[in-house]
Amino acid sequence: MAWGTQRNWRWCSKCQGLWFGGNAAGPCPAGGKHIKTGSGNYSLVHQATSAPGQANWRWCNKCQGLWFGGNAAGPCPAGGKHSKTGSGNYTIAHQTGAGQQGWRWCNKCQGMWFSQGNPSKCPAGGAHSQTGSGSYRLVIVTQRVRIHTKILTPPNISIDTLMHNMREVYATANCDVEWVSTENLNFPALNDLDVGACTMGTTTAEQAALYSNRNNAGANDIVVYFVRSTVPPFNGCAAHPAGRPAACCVQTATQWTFAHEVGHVLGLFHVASTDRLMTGGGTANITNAPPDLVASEVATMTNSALTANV
Amino acid sequence: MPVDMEKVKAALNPEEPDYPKAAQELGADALPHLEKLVGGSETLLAAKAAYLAGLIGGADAAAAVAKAARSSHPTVRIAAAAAATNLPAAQSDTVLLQLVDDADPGVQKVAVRSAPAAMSDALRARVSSVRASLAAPTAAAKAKPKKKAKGARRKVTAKKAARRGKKASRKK
Repeated sequence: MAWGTQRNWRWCSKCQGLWFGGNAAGPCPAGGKHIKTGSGNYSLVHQATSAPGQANWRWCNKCQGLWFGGNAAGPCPAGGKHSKTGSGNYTIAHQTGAGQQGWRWCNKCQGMWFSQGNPSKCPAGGAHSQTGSGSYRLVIVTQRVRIHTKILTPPNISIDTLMHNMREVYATANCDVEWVSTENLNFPALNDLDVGACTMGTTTAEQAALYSNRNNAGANDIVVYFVRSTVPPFNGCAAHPAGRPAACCVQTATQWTFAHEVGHVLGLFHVASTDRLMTGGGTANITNAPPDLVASEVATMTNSALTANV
Repeated sequence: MPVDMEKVKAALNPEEPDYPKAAQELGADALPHLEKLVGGSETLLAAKAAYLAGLIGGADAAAAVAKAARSSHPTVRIAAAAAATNLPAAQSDTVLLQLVDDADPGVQKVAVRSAPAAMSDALRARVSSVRASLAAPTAAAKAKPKKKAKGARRKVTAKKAARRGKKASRKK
């Protein structure tokens, strides 16, 4: 697996910093402890080998804050300097991408802070500074979907990119995309998969055989199989046997096919507009990246048994 | 309204094209465009074009499918094999005879599956041969334990025969 996601990062309304709310609150430069009142639930990408954005952001085990480890450690509100001991390597969307804008790097303390809130407080003294900072975007999530990938033939567009694109689109629905596992499958006889008419609720013997391979996947997890081609030729197909939520994508599918097919599995149907992920005109024609999900589609996703609130 | 390349591409661009609807709406006027797409650099579009040509049918469709069968891309040849099932018997036979011996196992699989009940003797012979070769590993795997069992039975039989021989000699 190329990367994972970690939720429960929180904005502190006292200092404007970002801190990990999965542990007890650390000391806040504004006094007392960090608070999560009024904060969304932020999901960060970590341990990425190729996700777009800026890597080397670190969790400080002393103050729970997020700081940039590509420079010398800045002052920590817990005393001394920030620490990266025990931290994963976080990658933050930088300049482009989905999510909430207004997040900045502070050149005084190296911390991540929100520039559009109340006055900030920096552990180096005074307010945080955004001089020299890029524009960072953080994804707020309220629900999640769990994805497993099984590879018979790797797609021409890397799965990292496909997964990132899906994360970008689903972020607009506040839906976290968890890439839970990936596995190579050696089934040459199913690599050009007979999908029949690709009608929801109807599957072929080959689909049934391939989709029975669900190592690591829970009942409500979606498994996406990467095959060389389908018979007849489709970009992908979301028809799956009952109780085995799954889809397939072919080697030459577009950068949005993966997210589109998962959308079908979540209950979304084709629409006419080529501005939307679920366009029935072909995702190759999408020009407004990331493509849109409208309110009714978000509601369908939320109501799906395959998503869960977080 | 004349059928132009734009219309043909619009029918094939969806993630999951509605082939029967496209065949009905576009008809034979689409075939020259489909043949052009079959020879194009976009392999997924070429495969879709070949499959749609087969559904539209007719002599010009056979030309497009035959062109797909000669493609250097296995996925386009697979589409040709799948499309052949919709062609008239003579053309279907020609395409499948070519693809049933393809070096790519995926192409072979679809070609064998597309062979109609009424096919030429030549194609029937090739299909039977390929089916047998595809089934061979399974047959061999099943044969192994059978051989062991046979051998085991023989040993028992030999032992029994020896005992019987002893018993017989005792009786004697």
